[in-house]
Formats: sequence, structure tokens, C-alpha cells
Amino acid sequence: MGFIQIFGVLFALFALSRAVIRYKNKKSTFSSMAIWLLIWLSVILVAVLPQTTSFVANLFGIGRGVDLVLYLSIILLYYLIYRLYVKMEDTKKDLTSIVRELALKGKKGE
Amino acid sequence: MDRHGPHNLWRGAYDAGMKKTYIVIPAYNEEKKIGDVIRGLRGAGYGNIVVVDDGSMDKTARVAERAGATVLRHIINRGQGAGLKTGIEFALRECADYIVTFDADGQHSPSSIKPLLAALSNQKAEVALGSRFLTKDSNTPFVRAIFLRGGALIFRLFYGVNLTDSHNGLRALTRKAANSIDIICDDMAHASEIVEEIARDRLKYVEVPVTITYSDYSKAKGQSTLNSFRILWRMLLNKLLR
Ligand SMILES: Nc1nc2c(ncn2[C@@H]2O[C@H](COP(=O)(O)OP(=O)(O)O)[C@@H](O)[C@H]2O)c(=O)[nH]1
Ligand SMILES: [Mg+2]
Repeated sequence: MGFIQIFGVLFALFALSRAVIRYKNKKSTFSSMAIWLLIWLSVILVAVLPQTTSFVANLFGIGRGVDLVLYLSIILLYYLIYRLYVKMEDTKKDLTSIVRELALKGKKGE
Repeated sequence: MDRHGPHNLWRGAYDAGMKKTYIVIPAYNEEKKIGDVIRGLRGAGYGNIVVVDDGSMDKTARVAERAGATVLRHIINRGQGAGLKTGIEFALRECADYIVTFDADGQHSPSSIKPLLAALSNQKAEVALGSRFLTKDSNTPFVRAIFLRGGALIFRLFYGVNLTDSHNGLRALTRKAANSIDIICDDMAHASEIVEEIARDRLKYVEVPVTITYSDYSKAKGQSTLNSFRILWRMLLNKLLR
């Protein structure tokens, strides 16, 4: 195994343990822990057996495993940006509501 | 034909006189102009003036208060749409029958308000929108005019609402219209939003000629024409995200 593979496995194990600890401390739900477990386990799998990505990629008609990983990460990133945007808009609206309430407070019936 | 018969002769004036009218002015850093704007409105007989000072960094609030307006203060800047909504909300709580939105930068003329209110009181409309293109008095810069008319064309395509002007801050709403129009966009895109709500709630609307004066002050401080693209972008996003 090369250095990058060992590093990948160690990092994934570390992240995995964090996810479990967060769940044990009731800081996350079971389903969110399960998703993170799945993600980090597959990272370990890919780190140890890189050829599995090629196998899955071929299933999708994509030549190289690396390409599949890249495509998936781009899709994931777009989705996360979208979620972030929606969250930000919601936060801005909440902020405006607070500012409005403060402006209207005490002004009624003048 | 008309069951009210001769009463109709005086009903328009009577209604406009008895109805409670509120002027809502969104303002951001307008200390130089807002005093005169408020005095002009009071001189024209409008007593209920609400200024929403949107986190201005200058003395807008103090100047407005001294000139005799009720001032609501946003502690931080939330945009023109947000300011309008706060002012409209206040007017509704004060039991306003009619609400007029008016700019703080001296571009609008108090004499435009009467015809706007007349359109509401003779029951032609729930929303009276000012248009600078129905009169020859407005000195709209050429490029701005093209974009405003382009905006109107987009309103026609998007919402099926036929207007000559877009993004005109001078309008009058009945209580009913003000209640049903919900401004969600905090920024300048609220003007398109109002048109969208007119279409959605099938509110009766008319356009009324109003004079918009472009001065060096208003051109320097006002929105850049490039902002049109931002507004269009916001319109699209809002469509996608809702
Ligand atoms: N509440 C609030 N009002 C604003 C803001 N920016 C501009 N305004 C007000 O909205 C009105 C029209 O703004 P202006 O920039 O002149 O737009 P334009 O006339 O379309 O170029 C004026 O009364 C401004 O004071 C803002 O951020 N918040
Ligand atoms: Mg202006």
C-alpha cells in the first residue's frame, strides 16, 4: 500500500469514529450517522482496493474510476451549494423579520 | 342605470376625503432630501407619513422626525422591499384605507398622489401604479427608459400584466390589496413581486401618469441600470426556489 492509501484509511477511520461519537453523545441522529458511516466505509474500500471504483465506473459506462469519483463530487458540491443558498435566504428572511419587529415595537397606536 | 344616482357626483371626492391615507417612504441615507419631501407632502395635505429609515448612516431619521413624519427604524439595512413591507405593515395596523408608496429622494411629486387615489376611490382599481411613460413631463434618461420598458415587456410575458412602466416606486394600494400583497424580496426585486402578486390574486390595477424627476442627485444616488440584471436574476431564482 502506498502512503496516500494508508493516510486515506487512517483519516477515514478518524472521521468514522467522530460520527459514532457524535451519535453516542446524542448530537446527531441515527440516520445521519448511518450516512456518514457509509461514506467513510466506502472511502476505506476505495483506498484499499482502488480498482473497485473502475468496476463501478464501468457499470455506469464511465471509463475510469477517478472520473466517476470526480463526477459524483461535482454533483454533490452543486447540491451542497444549493442547500447553502436556500439556508442563507432563509436566514436573511429571519433577520429581516427580527429587524422589522424591532422597528414596529412600541410604535403602534401613536 | 346607476343605483346611487346623483350621489355619484360627489362620492369620489367624499370618499377620498374621508378615507385614511398613509404615505409610506422607504429611505436610505436621504438626509439631504427627505426633509423637503416630507414638508412637500404635508403642504399638499397628507398628514400620515411613515418613513422607514433602513439603517441609514446619516441623519435621515432625525431629519424625518423633525419634518413631522412617523419614523420606523431598521437597525440594519435590509433593502427597499423590506422597508416598504415594514411601512405597509405599520399603516395596516393603523387602520389605513389607502397606502401610497413614495420615494425619499425627491423624484416623486406630491401632486401625483391625487390621481392615484382617485383611481382607487372611484373603484376602478385595487392597485394604482404610477407610470412615467404616460406623460411627457418625465425626463427619464434614454438608457433607463429602454430598461424600464424592457421590464414591462417581461412582466407581460411572465405574468400577463400589461404595463408601460416597470419599477416605479410611486403607487397606491387599497387596504385589501396591501393585505394580499406579500413582499418577500427584501431588495429592489420587490417591484416585480408586486406585479406578480397582482397577477396571482387577480387584483384590479390601473396605470396612472406620474412625473418622475431625474436630478443629478437622484442619478448619482439611484440604482444603476446594471441592477436590472440583478433583479431579473432574483426573479428567476425566486421562481425556482418556491
Ligand atoms: N428601505 C430602504 N430604502 C431604500 C434602500 N435603497 C434605496 N432606498 C429608497 O428607495 C427609494 C428609491 O431608491 P433609488 O435608489 O432612488 O431607486 P431608483 O429611483 O429606482 O434609482 C428612495 O426613497 C431610497 O431612499 C434601502 O436599502 N432600503
Ligand atoms: Mg431614485
